[in-house]
Amino acid sequence: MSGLPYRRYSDDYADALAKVVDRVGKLDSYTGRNLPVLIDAAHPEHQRVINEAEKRRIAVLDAANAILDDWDLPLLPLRP
Amino acid sequence: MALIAFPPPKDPEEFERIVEQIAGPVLRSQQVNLNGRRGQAQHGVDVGVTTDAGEVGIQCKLTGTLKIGTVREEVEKAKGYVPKLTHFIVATTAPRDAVLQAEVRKVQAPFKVSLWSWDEINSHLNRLPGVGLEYVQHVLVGSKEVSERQHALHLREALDRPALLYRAHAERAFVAQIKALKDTSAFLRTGLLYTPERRVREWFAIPSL
Repeated sequence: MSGLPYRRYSDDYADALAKVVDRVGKLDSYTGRNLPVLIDAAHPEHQRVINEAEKRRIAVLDAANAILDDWDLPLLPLRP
Repeated sequence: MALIAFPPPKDPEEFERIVEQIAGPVLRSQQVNLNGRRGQAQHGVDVGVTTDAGEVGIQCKLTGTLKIGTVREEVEKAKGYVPKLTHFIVATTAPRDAVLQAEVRKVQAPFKVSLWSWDEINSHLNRLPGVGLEYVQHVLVGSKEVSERQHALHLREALDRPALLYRAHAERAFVAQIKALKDTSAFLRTGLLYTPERRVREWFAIPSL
Protein backbone atom coordinates (compact mmCIF):
# COMPACT_ATOMS: atom_id res chain seq x y z
CA MET A 1 0.00 0.00 0.00
CA SER A 2 1.25 3.44 -0.88
CA GLY A 3 1.93 6.10 1.70
CA LEU A 4 0.46 8.66 -0.68
CA PRO A 5 -3.12 9.76 -0.08
CA TYR A 6 -4.73 8.49 -3.26
CA ARG A 7 -8.41 9.00 -3.91
CA ARG A 8 -10.45 7.79 -6.84
CA TYR A 9 -11.45 10.87 -8.80
CA SER A 10 -13.36 10.63 -12.08
CA ASP A 11 -11.35 9.71 -15.18
CA ASP A 12 -12.13 13.10 -16.75
CA TYR A 13 -10.82 15.00 -13.74
CA ALA A 14 -7.73 12.77 -13.39
CA ASP A 15 -6.96 13.21 -17.12
CA ALA A 16 -7.30 16.99 -16.88
CA LEU A 17 -5.02 17.02 -13.83
CA ALA A 18 -2.49 14.80 -15.59
CA LYS A 19 -2.24 17.48 -18.29
CA VAL A 20 -1.48 20.13 -15.64
CA VAL A 21 1.11 17.84 -14.00
CA ASP A 22 2.76 17.28 -17.36
CA ARG A 23 2.89 20.98 -18.25
CA VAL A 24 4.10 22.02 -14.80
CA GLY A 25 6.87 19.43 -15.13
CA LYS A 26 7.84 20.71 -18.58
CA LEU A 27 7.98 24.34 -17.48
CA ASP A 28 9.86 23.43 -14.29
CA SER A 29 12.40 21.36 -16.17
CA TYR A 30 12.81 23.92 -19.00
CA THR A 31 13.24 26.86 -16.63
CA GLY A 32 15.69 24.99 -14.41
CA ARG A 33 17.74 23.73 -17.36
CA ASN A 34 17.88 27.12 -19.08
CA LEU A 35 18.20 29.38 -16.04
CA PRO A 36 21.69 30.61 -16.98
CA VAL A 37 20.41 31.73 -20.40
CA LEU A 38 17.15 33.15 -19.02
CA ILE A 39 18.98 35.48 -16.65
CA ASP A 40 21.70 36.49 -19.10
CA ALA A 41 20.18 39.21 -21.33
CA ALA A 42 23.39 39.31 -23.40
CA HIS A 43 23.22 35.63 -24.30
CA PRO A 44 22.48 35.10 -28.02
CA GLU A 45 19.78 32.55 -27.19
CA HIS A 46 18.19 34.69 -24.45
CA GLN A 47 15.13 35.94 -26.37
CA ARG A 48 14.34 32.57 -27.93
CA VAL A 49 14.55 30.80 -24.56
CA ILE A 50 12.45 33.52 -22.87
CA ASN A 51 9.76 33.10 -25.54
CA GLU A 52 9.79 29.31 -25.16
CA ALA A 53 9.51 29.55 -21.35
CA GLU A 54 6.64 32.00 -21.78
CA LYS A 55 4.82 29.57 -24.08
CA ARG A 56 5.21 26.86 -21.47
CA ARG A 57 4.00 29.14 -18.65
CA ILE A 58 0.86 29.97 -20.63
CA ALA A 59 0.34 26.26 -21.40
CA VAL A 60 0.29 25.54 -17.62
CA LEU A 61 -2.31 28.25 -17.00
CA ASP A 62 -4.38 27.10 -20.01
CA ALA A 63 -4.48 23.52 -18.70
CA ALA A 64 -5.46 24.72 -15.22
CA ASN A 65 -8.06 27.12 -16.61
CA ALA A 66 -9.71 24.27 -18.54
CA ILE A 67 -10.35 22.59 -15.17
CA LEU A 68 -11.49 25.80 -13.48
CA ASP A 69 -13.85 26.49 -16.39
CA ASP A 70 -15.43 23.04 -16.01
CA TRP A 71 -16.26 23.87 -12.40
CA ASP A 72 -17.32 27.49 -13.05
CA LEU A 73 -14.47 28.73 -10.89
CA PRO A 74 -12.74 32.07 -11.56
CA LEU A 75 -10.07 31.63 -14.22
CA LEU A 76 -6.40 32.44 -13.63
CA PRO A 77 -5.58 35.66 -15.48
CA LEU A 78 -3.09 35.34 -18.35
CA ARG A 79 -0.87 38.35 -17.73
CA PRO A 80 1.85 39.52 -20.12
CA MET B 1 22.28 11.09 18.71
CA ALA B 2 19.90 8.30 17.72
CA LEU B 3 18.41 8.62 14.26
CA ILE B 4 14.72 8.30 13.56
CA ALA B 5 14.16 5.32 11.26
CA PHE B 6 11.80 6.63 8.59
CA PRO B 7 9.92 3.86 6.76
CA PRO B 8 10.78 3.70 3.06
CA PRO B 9 7.91 4.89 0.86
CA LYS B 10 5.84 2.38 -1.10
CA ASP B 11 5.18 4.60 -4.08
CA PRO B 12 7.80 5.41 -6.75
CA GLU B 13 6.59 9.01 -7.19
CA GLU B 14 6.72 9.62 -3.45
CA PHE B 15 10.27 8.26 -3.39
CA GLU B 16 11.26 10.54 -6.28
CA ARG B 17 9.76 13.46 -4.39
CA ILE B 18 11.79 12.64 -1.24
CA VAL B 19 14.97 12.31 -3.30
CA GLU B 20 14.21 15.59 -5.08
CA GLN B 21 13.75 17.35 -1.73
CA ILE B 22 16.99 16.10 -0.20
CA ALA B 23 19.05 16.45 -3.41
CA GLY B 24 19.18 20.27 -3.30
CA PRO B 25 20.66 20.65 0.19
CA VAL B 26 22.83 17.51 -0.03
CA LEU B 27 24.35 18.47 -3.39
CA ARG B 28 24.27 22.21 -2.58
CA SER B 29 22.12 23.20 -5.51
CA GLN B 30 19.09 25.43 -6.06
CA GLN B 31 18.37 23.79 -9.41
CA VAL B 32 16.74 20.42 -8.95
CA ASN B 33 14.27 19.09 -11.50
CA LEU B 34 12.01 16.07 -11.58
CA ASN B 35 12.05 14.59 -15.07
CA GLY B 36 8.40 13.95 -15.82
CA ARG B 37 5.93 11.55 -14.30
CA ARG B 38 6.44 7.90 -13.45
CA GLY B 39 8.03 5.97 -16.27
CA GLN B 40 9.15 9.16 -17.99
CA ALA B 41 12.72 9.27 -16.70
CA GLN B 42 15.05 10.67 -19.34
CA HIS B 43 17.91 8.26 -20.04
CA GLY B 44 17.51 6.72 -16.62
CA VAL B 45 17.54 10.07 -14.85
CA ASP B 46 14.51 10.83 -12.65
CA VAL B 47 15.98 13.88 -10.92
CA GLY B 48 18.42 16.29 -12.58
CA VAL B 49 20.57 18.54 -10.41
CA THR B 50 22.74 21.39 -11.66
CA THR B 51 25.70 21.98 -9.34
CA ASP B 52 28.86 24.09 -9.50
CA ALA B 53 30.75 20.87 -10.31
CA GLY B 54 28.46 19.96 -13.21
CA GLU B 55 25.23 18.08 -13.91
CA VAL B 56 24.17 15.33 -11.52
CA GLY B 57 21.58 12.74 -12.54
CA ILE B 58 19.70 10.64 -9.99
CA GLN B 59 17.84 7.44 -10.79
CA CYS B 60 15.34 6.39 -8.10
CA LYS B 61 14.88 2.66 -7.54
CA LEU B 62 12.09 1.65 -5.21
CA THR B 63 13.11 -1.90 -4.41
CA GLY B 64 13.92 -4.21 -1.51
CA THR B 65 17.21 -5.34 -3.05
CA LEU B 66 19.38 -3.81 -5.71
CA LYS B 67 21.74 -5.78 -7.95
CA ILE B 68 24.90 -4.52 -9.61
CA GLY B 69 23.45 -5.55 -13.00
CA THR B 70 20.60 -3.05 -12.55
CA VAL B 71 23.09 -0.31 -11.66
CA ARG B 72 25.13 -1.10 -14.79
CA GLU B 73 21.99 -0.95 -16.97
CA GLU B 74 21.06 2.44 -15.53
CA VAL B 75 24.61 3.72 -16.04
CA GLU B 76 24.40 2.73 -19.72
CA LYS B 77 21.13 4.65 -20.12
CA ALA B 78 22.54 7.68 -18.31
CA LYS B 79 25.36 7.95 -20.84
CA GLY B 80 22.78 9.37 -23.29
CA TYR B 81 21.52 12.06 -20.92
CA VAL B 82 21.70 15.68 -22.05
CA PRO B 83 23.39 17.72 -20.66
CA LYS B 84 26.30 15.34 -20.08
CA LEU B 85 26.53 14.13 -16.51
CA THR B 86 29.53 14.53 -14.25
CA HIS B 87 27.95 12.41 -11.52
CA PHE B 88 25.25 9.71 -11.59
CA ILE B 89 23.58 8.55 -8.40
CA VAL B 90 21.34 5.53 -7.98
CA ALA B 91 19.04 6.25 -5.02
CA THR B 92 17.31 3.19 -3.63
CA THR B 93 14.97 2.15 -0.85
CA ALA B 94 17.14 -0.96 -0.43
CA PRO B 95 19.27 -1.05 2.75
CA ARG B 96 23.02 -0.35 2.78
CA ASP B 97 25.08 -3.11 1.18
CA ALA B 98 28.86 -2.82 1.50
CA VAL B 99 29.54 -5.39 -1.24
CA LEU B 100 27.28 -3.56 -3.70
CA GLN B 101 28.87 -0.21 -2.75
CA ALA B 102 32.30 -1.65 -3.58
CA GLU B 103 31.05 -3.01 -6.92
CA VAL B 104 29.45 0.32 -7.81
CA ARG B 105 32.78 2.08 -7.24
CA LYS B 106 34.32 -0.20 -9.90
CA VAL B 107 31.70 0.57 -12.60
CA GLN B 108 33.35 2.11 -15.67
CA ALA B 109 31.60 5.28 -16.79
CA PRO B 110 32.45 8.74 -18.14
CA PHE B 111 31.04 10.16 -14.89
CA LYS B 112 31.29 9.40 -11.19
CA VAL B 113 28.80 6.73 -10.06
CA SER B 114 27.42 6.62 -6.51
CA LEU B 115 24.76 4.82 -4.55
CA TRP B 116 22.36 6.33 -2.01
CA SER B 117 20.91 3.49 0.06
CA TRP B 118 17.82 4.02 2.20
CA ASP B 119 20.14 4.17 5.26
CA GLU B 120 21.88 7.21 3.76
CA ILE B 121 18.61 8.79 2.68
CA ASN B 122 17.29 8.19 6.20
CA SER B 123 20.33 10.03 7.60
CA HIS B 124 19.63 12.96 5.26
CA LEU B 125 15.96 12.99 6.34
CA ASN B 126 17.16 13.24 9.95
CA ARG B 127 19.47 16.14 9.09
CA LEU B 128 16.80 17.93 7.07
CA PRO B 129 13.93 18.16 9.56
CA GLY B 130 11.68 20.06 7.13
CA VAL B 131 11.67 17.17 4.66
CA GLY B 132 11.60 14.46 7.33
CA LEU B 133 8.74 16.04 9.27
CA GLU B 134 6.62 16.50 6.17
CA TYR B 135 7.13 12.89 5.27
CA VAL B 136 6.41 11.49 8.73
CA GLN B 137 3.40 13.78 9.18
CA HIS B 138 2.02 12.37 5.99
CA VAL B 139 2.62 8.77 7.03
CA LEU B 140 1.13 9.29 10.52
CA VAL B 141 -1.63 11.82 10.06
CA GLY B 142 -2.80 11.13 6.54
CA SER B 143 -4.63 13.55 4.32
CA LYS B 144 -7.90 15.26 3.73
CA GLU B 145 -10.33 14.03 1.09
CA VAL B 146 -12.14 16.72 -0.84
CA SER B 147 -14.55 16.89 -3.76
CA GLU B 148 -13.22 17.44 -7.28
CA ARG B 149 -14.55 21.00 -7.24
CA GLN B 150 -12.79 21.69 -3.95
CA HIS B 151 -9.60 20.11 -5.29
CA ALA B 152 -9.85 22.33 -8.38
CA LEU B 153 -10.21 25.34 -6.11
CA HIS B 154 -7.00 24.35 -4.29
CA LEU B 155 -5.27 23.86 -7.63
CA ARG B 156 -6.21 27.46 -8.42
CA GLU B 157 -4.78 28.50 -5.05
CA ALA B 158 -1.52 26.65 -5.79
CA LEU B 159 -1.11 28.44 -9.13
CA ASP B 160 -2.41 31.86 -8.09
CA ARG B 161 1.01 33.42 -7.50
CA PRO B 162 2.57 36.44 -9.20
CA ALA B 163 5.57 34.23 -10.07
CA LEU B 164 3.32 32.16 -12.34
CA LEU B 165 0.72 34.71 -13.42
CA TYR B 166 3.21 37.28 -14.71
CA ARG B 167 5.86 36.88 -17.38
CA ALA B 168 9.23 36.38 -15.68
CA HIS B 169 12.03 38.71 -16.79
CA ALA B 170 14.72 38.79 -14.12
CA GLU B 171 16.74 36.27 -12.10
CA ARG B 172 14.62 36.71 -8.97
CA ALA B 173 11.44 36.23 -10.99
CA PHE B 174 12.70 32.97 -12.53
CA VAL B 175 13.88 31.62 -9.18
CA ALA B 176 10.48 32.51 -7.67
CA GLN B 177 8.80 30.80 -10.63
CA ILE B 178 10.81 27.61 -10.07
CA LYS B 179 9.84 27.61 -6.37
CA ALA B 180 6.17 28.15 -7.24
CA LEU B 181 6.34 25.30 -9.77
CA LYS B 182 7.89 22.95 -7.21
CA ASP B 183 5.09 23.79 -4.76
CA THR B 184 2.45 23.22 -7.44
CA SER B 185 4.12 19.97 -8.41
CA ALA B 186 4.14 18.88 -4.74
CA PHE B 187 0.42 19.64 -4.49
CA LEU B 188 -0.37 17.65 -7.62
CA ARG B 189 1.92 14.72 -6.84
CA THR B 190 1.62 14.38 -3.07
CA GLY B 191 -1.38 16.47 -2.05
CA LEU B 192 0.71 18.87 0.05
CA LEU B 193 -0.47 22.44 -0.42
CA TYR B 194 2.16 25.02 0.52
CA THR B 195 1.72 28.70 1.23
CA PRO B 196 4.10 31.01 -0.70
CA GLU B 197 6.12 31.15 2.56
CA ARG B 198 6.73 27.38 2.22
CA ARG B 199 4.53 26.43 5.14
CA VAL B 200 2.33 23.39 4.71
CA ARG B 201 -1.24 24.67 4.59
CA GLU B 202 -3.08 21.39 4.15
CA TRP B 203 -2.63 17.83 2.95
CA PHE B 204 -5.16 16.65 0.40
CA ALA B 205 -5.85 13.32 -1.25
CA ILE B 206 -4.64 13.12 -4.85
CA PRO B 207 -6.03 11.24 -7.81
CA SER B 208 -4.18 8.13 -8.93
CA LEU B 209 -3.08 9.61 -12.25
